[in-house]
Amino acid sequence: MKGFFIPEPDDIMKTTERTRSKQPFWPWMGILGAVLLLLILAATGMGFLSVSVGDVTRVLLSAVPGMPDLTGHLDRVLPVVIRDVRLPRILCAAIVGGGLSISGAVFQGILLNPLADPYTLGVSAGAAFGASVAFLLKLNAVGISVCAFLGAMLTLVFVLYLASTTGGFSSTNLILAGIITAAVLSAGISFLKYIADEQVSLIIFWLMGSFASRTWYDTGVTFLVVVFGFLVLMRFSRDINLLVLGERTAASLGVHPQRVIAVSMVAASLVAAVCVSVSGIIGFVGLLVPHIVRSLFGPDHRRLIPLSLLMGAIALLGADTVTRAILPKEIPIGVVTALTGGPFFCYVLKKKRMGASAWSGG
Amino acid sequence: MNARRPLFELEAVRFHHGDRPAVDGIDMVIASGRWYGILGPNGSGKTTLLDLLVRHRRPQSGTIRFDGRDMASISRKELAKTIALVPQGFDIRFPFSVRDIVSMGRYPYASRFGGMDAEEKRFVEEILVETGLETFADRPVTDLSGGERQRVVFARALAQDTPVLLLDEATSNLDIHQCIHLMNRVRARVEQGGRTVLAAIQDISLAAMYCDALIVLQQGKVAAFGDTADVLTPELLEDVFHVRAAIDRTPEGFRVAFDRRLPT
Repeated sequence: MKGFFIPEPDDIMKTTERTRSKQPFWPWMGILGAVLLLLILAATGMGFLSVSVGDVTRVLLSAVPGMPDLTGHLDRVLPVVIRDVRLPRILCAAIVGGGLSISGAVFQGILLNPLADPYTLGVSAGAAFGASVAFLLKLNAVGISVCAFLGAMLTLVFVLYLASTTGGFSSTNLILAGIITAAVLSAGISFLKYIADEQVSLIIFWLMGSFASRTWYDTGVTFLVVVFGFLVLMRFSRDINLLVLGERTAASLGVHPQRVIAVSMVAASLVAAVCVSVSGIIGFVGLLVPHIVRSLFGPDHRRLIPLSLLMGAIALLGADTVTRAILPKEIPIGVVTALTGGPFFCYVLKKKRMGASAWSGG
Repeated sequence: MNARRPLFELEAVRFHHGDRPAVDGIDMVIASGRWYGILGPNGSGKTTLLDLLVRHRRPQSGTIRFDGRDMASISRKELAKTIALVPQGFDIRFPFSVRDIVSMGRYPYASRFGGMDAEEKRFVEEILVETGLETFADRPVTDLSGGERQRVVFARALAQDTPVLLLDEATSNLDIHQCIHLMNRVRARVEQGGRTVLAAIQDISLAAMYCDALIVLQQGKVAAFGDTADVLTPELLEDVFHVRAAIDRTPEGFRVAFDRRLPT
C-alpha cells in the first residue's frame, strides 16, 4: 500500500514549496480546460484503430440529438468503438484523475500535511479489501465496485471513530488512525489472496488499477459524485485556508473548524472512494498534482481545488492514453503512475531541499 | 466618548480538562477601554481563560456575558468582528505569503466568494506598514524565522480590527525592539481607540509596563484582581510565583527588579 509516510510537515513544506507565484488564475483555467478538451479528442482518436481529431469531432457531434449524421464516410464500426468503448474509458480516466487530485489537495489542507493523499486515511486499503472480498465471492463488476465503495466508507467511519476525541479530530490522530487501519487491512488483503486460489490473479490485477472496459454507467456515477464533491469543497475552500492558522485562530475568524474538517473530509473521502471503486488503486496522482499546482499557483484552496481538478484530469488521462494506445502492451495504470510519479516526486523533494540549504547558507 | 462599561461578566465559570480544573470558579467583570494583563505560573489557567473569552471553549458551568448578552447567543460571524486572538502557536505549514496571512484577518468582513475591494486592500497595506512587515509582504511565511512569523500572526489579528483583542503570549519570541514596538501599537489602540485588551503574559516586567489592571491566576482561581498599582506587590510575587522582587513606580509604569535568590 502506498501513502504511508511518517509525517514531517514542517520540514517538507519549507523545502518543497517556497516560491509563491503570481500566475493568473482564470487564464490558466482556460488554458487547462482547452488542453483537457483537446487531449480528450486526441486520445479518442488514438488506439488500435486510428481516427483523426476531425472525424472524432464528427462522431461526437452526430451523437448530439437533432444533429445530422456526419459519419457517412467512416467505417460503421468506428462510431461504436468511439462512443461505447473509448469515450467512457477516456472520460472515466479524466474524472478519476480530477477527483483524486481535489481529494488529495483537500486532505493535505485539512490535515496540514503535504504528504497526505486520498489514501492516507485508509480509504484505498478499505476499498481494496472490499474489492478482494467481492472477488472471493465471485461477484460481477457492479458488485466489485459496490464492495470497494462500502469498504472505503466503512474504513473512513472507523478511522474517524478511532481518531475522535472529546475536542474533535486532530490531524496527527487522524493520520495515525489511518496508517494503523490500513496496515491491518493490508494484512487482511494478503490473507484473502492466500485463500483465494484461482481468484488471486484477479485481485492482484484490480489492485494495480485499470480503466479498461469502463462503461457509461461507471462514468456517469463517478462524474456525479466528483461534481458534487467539488461543489462542496469549493464552498469550504476559504475556510480550509483559515485552518492553516490553527483551530483556535480559525474559530476566532468565524469558522467552525470541526465542522469544516468533518464535512470536507467526508466529501473528499466520498470522491476518493468512488474513484477507487471504479479504477482500482492509482497512486501518486492525488499526492503529486496538488503539489505541482501549489508550487505554481500558491496554496490558496480557492484556486488550488479547481486547478487541481483540471491538472489531475489531464495527468491521468495522459497516463492512461500512454498505456492504452502508445505502449505495445497495456500496463496497469497504477503501475504507470507509481513508476513515473514516484521518481518525479523524489526529484522534486531532493531538488527543493538542496535549494533550501543553499538559501539558508547565504 | 469612551465611557467604560462592563464588557465581559463572568459568573462562577468553570472548565475542567479531564478531572483537572483549568478554570475553577471565576467571577469577575472586565471593563471596556482598558488593558488587562493575565498573569500566573505555568498551568494556572491563562490560556483556558482566553479560550473561554474567545468562545473557543464553552464553560462547563457558570455563565459569561459579553456586552450584556449571553456569550452563547452571539453568532460566530459577529464574534469574529468583535474579538480577535493572537495565539501562542504560530506554526504555519503552507507557503501563504505574509500579505495572504494578514489579509485573512479581513475574512469576517467579506462574503464567502467575494474578493477584497480597494479599501480593504489599503487597510491591509496600512497594517503591514504599521507592523514593519511591508518589506517582506510577498515572501512565503514558511521561509520566515519564528519571531518573524509571530509578527505576521500578530499583524493578522490587528487586521481583524476588533474592539477586543486577546493576546496569548503574543510576544514571547520577539526581540525586545519588536516586542516594545508592537506593544506600543496595541497601547495606542487602547488609549486612542478605546479598545479592550486582555493579554496572557509570562514576562511580569512587560505586563507592569503596559497593563492598566492585572488578573493573577493560581491553579484556576483568581489570586488577585485589580489595578496594576494595587495588585503588583512584592508579597504577591512571592506568594504566587515564589520569587523575590523589588517594584518601583516610574512615570511610564512599573519597574520590576527580580532577585536571583529564591525565597526559602
